Amino acid sequence: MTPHSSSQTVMLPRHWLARAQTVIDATCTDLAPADAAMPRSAFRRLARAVRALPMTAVRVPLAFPPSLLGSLTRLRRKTGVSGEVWEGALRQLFAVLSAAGLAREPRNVDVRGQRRSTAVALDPEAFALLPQLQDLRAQLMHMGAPSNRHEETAVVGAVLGSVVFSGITIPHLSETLVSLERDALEVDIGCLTLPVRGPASCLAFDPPCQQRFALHPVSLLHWGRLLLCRPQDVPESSAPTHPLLPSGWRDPKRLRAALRRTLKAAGFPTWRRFLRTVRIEMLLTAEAPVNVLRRAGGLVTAAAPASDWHRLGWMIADPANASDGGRRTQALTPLDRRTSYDRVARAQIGRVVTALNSDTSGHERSQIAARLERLLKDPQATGPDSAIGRSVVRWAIYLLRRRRYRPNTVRTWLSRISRALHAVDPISSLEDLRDPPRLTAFIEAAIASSAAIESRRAMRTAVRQYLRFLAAQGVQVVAIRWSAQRFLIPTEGRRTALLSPGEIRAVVEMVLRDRADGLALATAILLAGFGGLRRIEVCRLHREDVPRDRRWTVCVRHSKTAAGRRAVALGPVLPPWALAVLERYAAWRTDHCGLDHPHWLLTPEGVPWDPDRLATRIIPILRRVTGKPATFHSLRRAAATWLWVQSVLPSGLELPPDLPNRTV
Amino acid sequence: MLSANGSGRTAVRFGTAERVAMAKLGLIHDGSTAQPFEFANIYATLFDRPAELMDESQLRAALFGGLIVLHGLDPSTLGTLRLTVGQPPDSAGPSLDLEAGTLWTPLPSVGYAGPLRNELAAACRPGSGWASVPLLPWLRRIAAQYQQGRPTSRSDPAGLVFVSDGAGSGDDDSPASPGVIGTPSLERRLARSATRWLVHHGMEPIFGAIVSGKFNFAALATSAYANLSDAQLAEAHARSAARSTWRYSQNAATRATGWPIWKIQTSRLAQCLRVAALVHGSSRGARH
Amino acid sequence: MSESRRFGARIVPRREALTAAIDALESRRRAVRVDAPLREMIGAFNLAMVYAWLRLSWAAALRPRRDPVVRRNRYDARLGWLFVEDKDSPYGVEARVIPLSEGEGPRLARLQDLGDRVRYRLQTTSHVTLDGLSDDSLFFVILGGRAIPLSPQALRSVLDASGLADSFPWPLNVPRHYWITRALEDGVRLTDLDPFLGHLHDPLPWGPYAARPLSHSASSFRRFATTILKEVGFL
Repeated sequence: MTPHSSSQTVMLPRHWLARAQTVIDATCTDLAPADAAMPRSAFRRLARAVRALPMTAVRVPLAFPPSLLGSLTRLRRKTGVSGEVWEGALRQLFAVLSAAGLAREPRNVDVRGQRRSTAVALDPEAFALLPQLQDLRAQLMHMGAPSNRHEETAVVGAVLGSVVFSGITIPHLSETLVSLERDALEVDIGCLTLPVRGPASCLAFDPPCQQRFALHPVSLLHWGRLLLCRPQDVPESSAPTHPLLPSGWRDPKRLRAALRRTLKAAGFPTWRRFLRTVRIEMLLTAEAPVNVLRRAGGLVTAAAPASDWHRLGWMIADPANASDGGRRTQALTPLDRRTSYDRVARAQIGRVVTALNSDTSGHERSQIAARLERLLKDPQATGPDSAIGRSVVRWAIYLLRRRRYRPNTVRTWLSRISRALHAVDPISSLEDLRDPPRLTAFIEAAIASSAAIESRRAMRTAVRQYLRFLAAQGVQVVAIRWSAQRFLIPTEGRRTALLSPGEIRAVVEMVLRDRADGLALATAILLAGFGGLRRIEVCRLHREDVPRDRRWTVCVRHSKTAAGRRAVALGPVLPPWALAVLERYAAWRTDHCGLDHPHWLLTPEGVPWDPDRLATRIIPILRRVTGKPATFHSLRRAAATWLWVQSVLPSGLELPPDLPNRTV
Repeated sequence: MLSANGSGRTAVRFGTAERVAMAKLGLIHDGSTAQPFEFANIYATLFDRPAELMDESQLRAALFGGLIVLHGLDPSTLGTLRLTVGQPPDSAGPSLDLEAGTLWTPLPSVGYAGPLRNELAAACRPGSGWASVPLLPWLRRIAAQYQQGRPTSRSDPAGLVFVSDGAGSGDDDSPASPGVIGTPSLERRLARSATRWLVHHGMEPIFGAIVSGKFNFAALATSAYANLSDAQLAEAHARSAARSTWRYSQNAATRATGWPIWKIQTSRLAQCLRVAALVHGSSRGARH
Repeated sequence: MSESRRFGARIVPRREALTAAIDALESRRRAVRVDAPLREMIGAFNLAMVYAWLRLSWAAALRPRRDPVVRRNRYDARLGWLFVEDKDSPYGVEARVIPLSEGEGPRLARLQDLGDRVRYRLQTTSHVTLDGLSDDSLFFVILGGRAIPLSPQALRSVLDASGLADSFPWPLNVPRHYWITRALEDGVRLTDLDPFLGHLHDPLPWGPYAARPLSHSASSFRRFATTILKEVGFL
């Protein structure tokens, strides 16, 4: 077979190897022995791989298939060669063979990088850019006079400041920012809310999760500078949307181009490399890797950052103190009609309260909020007339849109404020909020309108949150000292109802004896009294949540909060008699798996228990047997108390004598 | 419990994802690790009287169980544990010197297996491929008592430490001392968990590996570099074992009556364990 | 330390032998004058490089590699960190960061500056070939008329030429042996040291869910590094 120089020919592998060997020998003759060792070593490995090829003839120039290339790019451990040296040797080898017409130079001979899962990719090129990052930081720190309102500088400064100072390294940050609304930036508390799609997000469907990120003070200054650059916005009621960035910067291409220019000037070749450098610096300084991952959008968390609660912007000085310069002048609406909380607003809030329950999804909440917003904005609609009414509706929209507030919390607060504004000596207008005695009287009356201590606390919290919202909207609100005596809610006289294990057993025995649905009730009592499950958690258990393993683990998936999702191992904490009851019920449930319902706890009729109905059935029995003002939640408190007593016992401490013996 | 999902992939066994995640996070309360209450359950069986009052079978059981729960030795290793006096020969496996109260564990050979040059040996600390692990004081007393009463087999005078009485003949389901702790799987579970708890209570993983004779990848790397002394190992082991045992006995005693637990010193280990075990045992009658 | 039986690794240097070796190396060192005669400069420079490499290997317990892992852009003197990719396997390389104790970062920066000046001198006024040296090499020596990266073999050659071969009978990865042994003796947690030594296993300190900043274990590592450097005689 005669090789042609310019066209593909076919030859036997051994002939190809012989020719390649000649070429390599000729090349290595010109090199020093030390330098020739690596190419020869690489060629020997290549020769082994070519000999192992299954075909009887090879096409010349030989194109290396991935299988052949893979074995070559894997490093040789025995010689202790580093990846870079091996890559260099392979490239040299392919270059020589390609020049001789024997092989095609492959596009990629990169040695595979590490495969470990890390919060931050340890990229050497990004590490090498740390000095440039420091220079960029220094440049952003000295951002020039506030009077310098050049828009591009401000926009780029704000975006890069969010990355460099606040560590927000979401890859598509520029695309995200161009579509962001103004209210995503909370200047008073220094938070930016961004939509993020984390890979491990529990919300697998659209829309992406809203994550809040605390902003570094310098980053916040940049954003403030950008806001100052913008012309005064039209009043809220007439504009359909209020984007965060100025009008000319809502094109992602334009923003990307500006960022690219600035980064190139600073020495960063690409946006990605820049983000990696920032992440590496965060890792090497004071940030925990999980925080770096979160700020890179790789982890979605349910809890809000602690900075949510710092530096409340609504603590404005008493307007009677005229020298105070921290007064805000922007009112909620220009017209402030002196009418009280009107019926329309009350009705709308009532509908919201009714519609919300623990099963309300985020989408439904958004729909409710959108409906309220349409009522507010549409001049034809019968929205609330008074400023107070409108403010409450706005607050409802705010709460509904914030996922961190659970539906029960939103319901409670709205119903409390509604009650306070309607039934109690109400504030007639927003101007009353500037009058300290008037506002104080209102708050006192609102708290006093409830009898139970928990209700009073809920009322106080609701009023406080409402006033905080108003202040954040720019309404002048007198500073209230909430720790003052008049607003304190006493804790004395609260009767405790700590149930002992013996009492729980007595209750279980009674329900088993006297009730047709006793087995289910007993099971619910045991789950709450020994496992600490809430009412809703007991009722929402599914069959697959109770696998009946060796430890009698119960998986709580539907809980009041995200933090409540857990696995409870009942085996170690249940006494044998309790275990027997659970086993009985589990056996009954298995026998009745024909009852086509996924819930685990069923009534004898085969329907899942309603939490309210369950409580209604159990509470009277608890009170009758124990003689204490117990509720269903008392069982959870008992479980927590006894588990704590069992597990936390410092050496030398005696148990208090009045605590009954847990073992029954 | 298996459950199928809609993607068609094989469902993962319940709890596997949690165990893997907990291992990645370095947590110890996964389902594959025995928790303190499981150790506490067997303490009354093993440690209910002083060594001097135990008969031969009780001594064997206490030594067997003690090596499992305090050293983390696997039952299969214990089944082949040989007697020795001083350092065993190179070809031998793990051995126990009953008189000196020392457990001899072979270290994995990782690099530099051959003899050193004279000048290099002179400039280095002495090392050895055999680790000598002193038994905890209480176990040492048990071992000494056991040695006095241990029967010798004619066919194998150097013999195994735990001579099988024929009831268990090396079969995986028949431990050398059947019924000491429970089933073989429970013994294995306790053995692997004992090492984890020792490490959890402050022992370095390399020490835990030497004491138990089980070298995972992480311990293997460290063992190639570390030069240790038996005093150093004994101190670390005793400190960690005391914390573990304190926790087990606290669990046992608290579950029984809620008595206060003394701070356990290694030298008083037996006394406190015995009291805790007596407390645990006395409460059993009240429960049933 | 009590007289008890020792077991484990056999190549852990005795402290006396180490300090004697480092003292011998220090005594041979002299200031590098770039404008000195070529032979004198080369001798001083080679020894300075070897000293710096040995010092860094004791300060960071690096694995000795044929292709030096520490390069010009792989350390940050300001933050005091080193970036290393040294453990090779058929499946890839392992990258890690190593905290540098105080003073080591600026020392590397000075070494880099010295290396630049020597390179310039060699390029412009000598026949020493530099084609075997990449632009980002930080540690290099001049042997046989060629400037080459400082590999373990080259390091041994320099020690031989300086008459120090007998003072350093140990393999070049002996700092790792010493580090781990002394850490176990001093009660320094290996969980703080292992990731920076390259013993990577879950849970990684820079893993996705690691909630502890690296700075905590880094400060432990730096403190211990300073202790080691003092013990062996570099400080």
